Amino acid sequence: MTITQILFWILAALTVFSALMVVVSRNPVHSVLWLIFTFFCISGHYILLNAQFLFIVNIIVYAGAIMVLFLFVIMLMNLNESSEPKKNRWLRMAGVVAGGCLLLVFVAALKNIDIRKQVAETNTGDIGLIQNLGQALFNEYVVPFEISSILFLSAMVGTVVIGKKE
Amino acid sequence: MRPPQPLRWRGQWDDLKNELYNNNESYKTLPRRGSWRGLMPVNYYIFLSIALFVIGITGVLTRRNAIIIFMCIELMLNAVNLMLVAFSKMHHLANAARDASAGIDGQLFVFFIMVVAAAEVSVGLAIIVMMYRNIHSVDVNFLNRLKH
Repeated sequence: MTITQILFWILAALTVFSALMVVVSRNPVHSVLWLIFTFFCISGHYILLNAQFLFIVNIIVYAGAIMVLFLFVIMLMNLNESSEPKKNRWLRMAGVVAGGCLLLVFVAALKNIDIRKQVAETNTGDIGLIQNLGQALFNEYVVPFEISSILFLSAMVGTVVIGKKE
Repeated sequence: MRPPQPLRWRGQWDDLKNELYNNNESYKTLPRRGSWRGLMPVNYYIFLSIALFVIGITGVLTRRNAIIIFMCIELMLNAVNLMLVAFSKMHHLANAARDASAGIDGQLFVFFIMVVAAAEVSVGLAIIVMMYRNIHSVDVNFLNRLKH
C-alpha cells in the first residue's frame, strides 16, 4: 500500500465514524462538533484528490460559516441533552432498518459494476487548482455564477423577512 | 475448510494497471512499470459516499430534533460532493489526452452545491428559529399543525 492509500483508509474510517457520531450523539452541541470533524475529514479527502480550491472552500464555507451558524442557533435556543425529544423505540428501529435496506440496495447494485476498473487520480492533476477553476468559472459558468449571487441576495432578504418579529 | 486467502494488494494493482494501459490511450502517458503512486480505484469513493449518504438518511429518519435533521441533510450533500470530485478526477485521468480541462465541470458543480447549501442553511435556520419562537420546541412532531 502506498502512503496515499493508507491516508485514504484512515480518513475514510474517521469520516464514517464521526458521521455515525453525528447521528448517535444525544447532545446537539456534540452533534455539531462531530459534524465539523466530518467536514474536516472530507476536506482531507479533497486534498488527497488534489482539489485544493474545494478543500479551502469546504473549510471556510462549511466548517467556518455554516457550522458556526448551527452552533449559534443551538446555543440561542439553549438546547441540551435534557430537552432532546425522545422518539419511540420502534420508530427508531424502523428508521435504522430502512436505512440499512437502502445501503443493502446500493451496495448490491454497485458492487459488480464495470466502473470498478476505473481509477481516480490522487496527488496529481491540476484541474483542482484555483487558476483553472477560476478561468472556467468566469468563462463558461459566468451566468450561473451571477444567478447564484441573486440567489444569495434573495436568501438574505428571505431570512430577514422570516426572522423579523411582527 | 479453506485457509484464509492472503490479501494480494500488489498483484491486483498490477493486473489493473496492465489492463488500463492496454485498453485506454490516455493511460499511456503514465509509466508502464513501477508504482502508480497517485491512483485510487473509484469504487472506494463510491462506497464511502454511499456510507455517508445512508448515515444521513438514517439520521433524518431516526431523529426528531429539527436542527439535527438539517445537519443530516448537510451530511448527504457532502457525500454527493465527495463523489462528484472523485468522478471528476476519474474523468480527467481518462480524457486528459484529448482535453486538458476534462473533469473541471464536476468541481464547479461542487462549488455551486456549496453555494446553494449556504443559502439553504440560512433560510432553513431562520425557519427553525421562527418555529421555536412560536411553539417553544424544535421537535418536528409538533410541526403537524398544517394537517388540521
